Order: sequence, then C-alpha cells, then structure tokens
Amino acid sequence: MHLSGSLLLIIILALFSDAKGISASEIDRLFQENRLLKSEVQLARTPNIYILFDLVEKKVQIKAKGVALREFPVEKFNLAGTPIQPKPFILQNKSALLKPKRIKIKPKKIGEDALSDIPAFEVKDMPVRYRFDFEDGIHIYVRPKPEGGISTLLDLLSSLKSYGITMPVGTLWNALQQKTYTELSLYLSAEDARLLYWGMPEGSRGIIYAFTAMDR
Amino acid sequence: MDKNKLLRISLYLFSFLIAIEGAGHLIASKASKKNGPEHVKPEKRLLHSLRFENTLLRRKIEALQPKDYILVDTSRNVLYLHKGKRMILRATISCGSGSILTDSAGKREWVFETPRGEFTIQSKYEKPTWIKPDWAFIEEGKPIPKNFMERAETGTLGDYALGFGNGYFIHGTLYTRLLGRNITHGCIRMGDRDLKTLYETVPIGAKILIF
Repeated sequence: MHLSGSLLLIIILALFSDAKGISASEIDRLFQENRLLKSEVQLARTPNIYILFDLVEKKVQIKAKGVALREFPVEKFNLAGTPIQPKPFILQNKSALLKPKRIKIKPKKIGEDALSDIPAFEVKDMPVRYRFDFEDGIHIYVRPKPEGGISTLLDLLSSLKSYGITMPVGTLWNALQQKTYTELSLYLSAEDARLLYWGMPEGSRGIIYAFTAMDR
Repeated sequence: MDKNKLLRISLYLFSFLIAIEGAGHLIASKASKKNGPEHVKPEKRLLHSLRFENTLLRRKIEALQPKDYILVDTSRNVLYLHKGKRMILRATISCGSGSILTDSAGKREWVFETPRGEFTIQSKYEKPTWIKPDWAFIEEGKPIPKNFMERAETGTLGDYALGFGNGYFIHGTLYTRLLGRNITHGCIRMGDRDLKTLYETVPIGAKILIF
C-alpha cells in the first residue's frame, strides 16, 4: 500500500514537472535582455557616458563603463509609435522652449576685478520641459511631474499636442516616407529633469529598454 | 468484497494507468530525440542558453567597471574617491563654466567646459607652475606674450596638480569661496585639504569618470 502510494506520488510529480511549460513571454524577455546587455557591453567599452532609459524598471541611469553614475526614478511614462529595440541611439538634438544659452565672456579691461562677474552656466539654468531627438525618429519628451494648477495645465496642453497633433501627424508623415516614429513621454521630478538635461550632451548615446514581444 | 480490497485494487489500477501514460511520454520523448537534437524541447534549451549568455554578458559589464576610481559630478560640483565599494573621499569642487570666449579677431573660440567621460590620471605635480594658455591673456585683455617664460605663473594652481589629458588638471585654488560653483575654464578646482588627500591616495593611471 505504502509502496504503491509513493510510486503514485513520484509518477504524478514527475509528470507535472515534465509538463511544466516555458512561457513564450519569458523567452521574449530574455531575448530583449540579451540585446540590452549586448548594447550595453558595446557602450561600456567606450570612454563615453551613455544613458539607459529603463522603462521596465522605471528608471533613467547615466552610466559610464557599466557604472551607474546617477539614477532618476521615472514617475510615469507613455510610449507610443514604432516599437524600439534596445540598441544604442545617438542623441541628435536637444530642444526646449527656453533653451539655455551659453554665456559669452567679454575680455576684461585692465585693472578690472577678474571675479566681479562670474559667468557660470549651471544646473539651475537647465529647462524642466524639453525634447530629446534621437536617430531613427525617436523623440523623448521630458516633463516634470504635474504639481498644482499651472503645471497640470501645461501637462494637459503637452498631452493634447502630443496625442492630437505630433503623434498622428508624425506617424503618418514618417510612414509615408517609410521611416519609423516613436514618442516617449517621461515624467521626472523637476530637479531630475534639469540634471538629465545637463547630463546628456548632444552626440551622446542612449538605450531605451521597453519590454515588448519582438522578432527573435 | 471488503472495502480495503476494493481500494487496493483501485489504487493498483490507477498506478498501472499512470505508469502506462508515463511510459508513453518516455517513448514519445525518445522518438522526438531521434528526429534531431534541435527539435527536443527547443524552448527549454533556448531558455537555458539565453540565461547563460545573459549571465556572461553581465559579468563582461562588471569586468569593465573600474575598481578604484575618481567620480566627478559636474552638475553638483562634487568629487568622490572610490576604493573598491567604499567611498573614501567626498569633496566640494568647481567645474567648467560652460562659457564661451572668442578672440578679438573672431578666429578662435574656447568653450570652458569640463570634459565628460572616462579619463586617466597621466601626471602629478607638487607646487605646480601654470603655463598660461592664450585664452587666459585674451580673457584678461592682455597681449599674448612672445616669450614662453612670461606665461609661467606660480601659486595659482595651489599645492598639487593631477593632469588627466589635453591640458586639463585637478588642482588647488586661491578662490575657495567659489567652490561648489561652475566657474572654471574646464579644470577641476579643489580645496587644499581634499586635494592633498587625493594627491596622496591616487596613483598615476587611476581612472576618472566625469559626468
């Protein structure tokens, strides 16, 4: 009796363990992770700074040589358009309504105090609402988390512009030209938005990691 | 027939049926193995190979990370010295102003920014002499000297200087009250005590990560 009971249990367990399936999504996730890691190895081998927009973990990291130099939590995000592969993209342009301008130094006159005027270009001068234009038609809109009346209104207007104009027009226009178009809206704290603008010079590279089912 | 006997027969029958099903699975799996290894549970093999490859890639990234390094945050004007996983120094510094200077002829332009990325300490000097570049004279509204020795200035760079390439240095300053602000011409200025610690701790060849 005992023997047959044990045998039965072993057989049932063996069958269940054998029947345990591997979900396709797990393989897709590992494939995406594989591409992300390969991209990161490629960037970490260079002496340059790069940015990882990790939408799975909801964080943005400024990195160099695989070291996370700074990390920003993403309050929320919206991703629409052509699916993005986790490969390095070059930041081609940074634009903002009030783009900070570098100060031009006027050469001093003889006898003038060299420290009377300090032309500093600092983080506090960076914008909180701006757009990063990457290659392959990827546009990242960085916005501060709406807090209070004016910022909520600005956010609503930005969303209206995005979903009512730029997304449909951009998608159609680029589709007609057989180009890809992706829009990512990232909500960060105002301080983090300024630090990200500072930390990502034009020409630097970024990886966007958004887990979606993909071609293997 | 008593109840116990009936139960025993049922269990034997059930075990027998399960055993037959198990044998069926076994035969089916052996038959599929004969069709070629690539058709045997390809997902399972793929899963294992992906996990293995991803682990290797993570290790590759870890191997690229410097163990001991200087970390410079240009946005907050802070320098950190990392030894292994420990941070052994945190110092307030001054980084590049990002300002632009153009010479009167409009032919040359300088952007006073601290470079970003990975660099290496290439040289170390005690009581360094500053060889003033052209922009320093232009900024001060003075003529550029033709005699090299007229460019030499002592004391300006503090007690120590650590060069990290292309004329950029980590050095001391006369204007300690301006530490914490982006006011330099691209070099990294430090206070005397922190600079001494850095100079004594960091060897030539040490890595600097600037962001």
